[in-house]
Amino acid sequence: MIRNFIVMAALALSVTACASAPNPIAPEARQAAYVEDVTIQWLVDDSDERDENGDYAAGRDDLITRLESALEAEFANSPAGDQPVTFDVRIDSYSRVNAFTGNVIGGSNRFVADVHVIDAQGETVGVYEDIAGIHASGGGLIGAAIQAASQPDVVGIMVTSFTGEMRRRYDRD
Amino acid sequence: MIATRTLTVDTTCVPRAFLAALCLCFVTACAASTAPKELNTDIMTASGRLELPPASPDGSLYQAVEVSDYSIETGVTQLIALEANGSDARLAESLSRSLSNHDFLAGEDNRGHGVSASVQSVAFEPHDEGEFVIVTTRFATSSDEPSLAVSCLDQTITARWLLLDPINSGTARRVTSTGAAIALAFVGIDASNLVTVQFADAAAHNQAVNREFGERTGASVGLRGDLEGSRRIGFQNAIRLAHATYIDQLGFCEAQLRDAPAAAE
Repeated sequence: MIRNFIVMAALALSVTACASAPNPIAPEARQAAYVEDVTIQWLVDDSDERDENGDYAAGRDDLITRLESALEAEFANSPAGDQPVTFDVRIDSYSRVNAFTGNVIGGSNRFVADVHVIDAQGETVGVYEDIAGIHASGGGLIGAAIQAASQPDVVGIMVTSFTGEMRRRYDRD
Repeated sequence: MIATRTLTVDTTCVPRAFLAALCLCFVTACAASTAPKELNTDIMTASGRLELPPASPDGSLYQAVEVSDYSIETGVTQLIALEANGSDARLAESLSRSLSNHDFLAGEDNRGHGVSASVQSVAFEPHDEGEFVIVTTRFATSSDEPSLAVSCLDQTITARWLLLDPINSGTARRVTSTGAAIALAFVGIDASNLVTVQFADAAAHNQAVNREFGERTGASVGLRGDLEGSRRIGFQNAIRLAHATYIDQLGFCEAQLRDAPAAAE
């Protein structure tokens, strides 16, 4: 139980640390932009991933597809300027755990990426670093039972978490 | 004789943390289904993403239009429970930015032809998979310059936005959102952006709908349990379509005048 609290506290700290980072792009430049495209780069070194629980590869492929779609939808109408930019999402960390491990032993389903904002000339306008998509759980045996029963959409939750954090970071002064 | 029994539930066996998480879950779920009552300027702005043709540098409306005012009928704000304070300013800003994105807006040093806009009506029309939000907006020039180019500024535009009903989207999507709320509640993360997943799921559907109804009609998934909130979102999207149509018409009208200069003057 104590370990669960430590994991949750560490996650909260990481979120807080990200929240205090300055916005890498000036307000005028952000307002003048619109998101024309989203690209995903998988930079995780997972060549020897054994995929013991069967979720790893399927989750990875699902994640890439849905992350691109979710980011495009979230930023389709905002910002609403006239300068096209591309969100180049570079995923460099990815971990999956099953319901029992996540709730009882510790750990979380999460991925971390840097989002490079690139203008029409190919120049990097700014980089939003270490944005995390998290499906966390710390409910002990009851939490594990709920998760096993409800079969939450882990990839969807991670994607939603990531997209929301990207939106907050982009809009922050 | 009727026997009565009192049912008591012993909650001491349930971890308090779990109860707290459940409460959080309910709070989070409620937050997820409520849309802001204030207008979002970005959503109502026609951005470069729409790929509308910009004003021609040779045209008389190139960087020569300014927004005098933008009003919205009281009945309209009441119909969708819109926060009235600031709505006019946000609408005006979104039209100004739309014009600026396409080189119609007059620079700070130039006096442009004034345009007064007003949202005249909002209507709702049932659809098999939700409802249309239909917004009629009147654009009128306040310029007293008697030219045909200025007359291009006078237009009434009706835009339609289809709000897809989330209940008709299937059990899987509802379970997805509930599961997300539970999981995120454990770590206290706000799940109010869950609608993003629904938007993503509907992306392919949107494209099909757009093809079916034409360029100036779009679609998105409404919010579950918040009809007024859904309609506010539909309203703002319809306003963006109206602004896009207006800009498209300005370019078209101006091109017509360029092609027939003798008739224009």
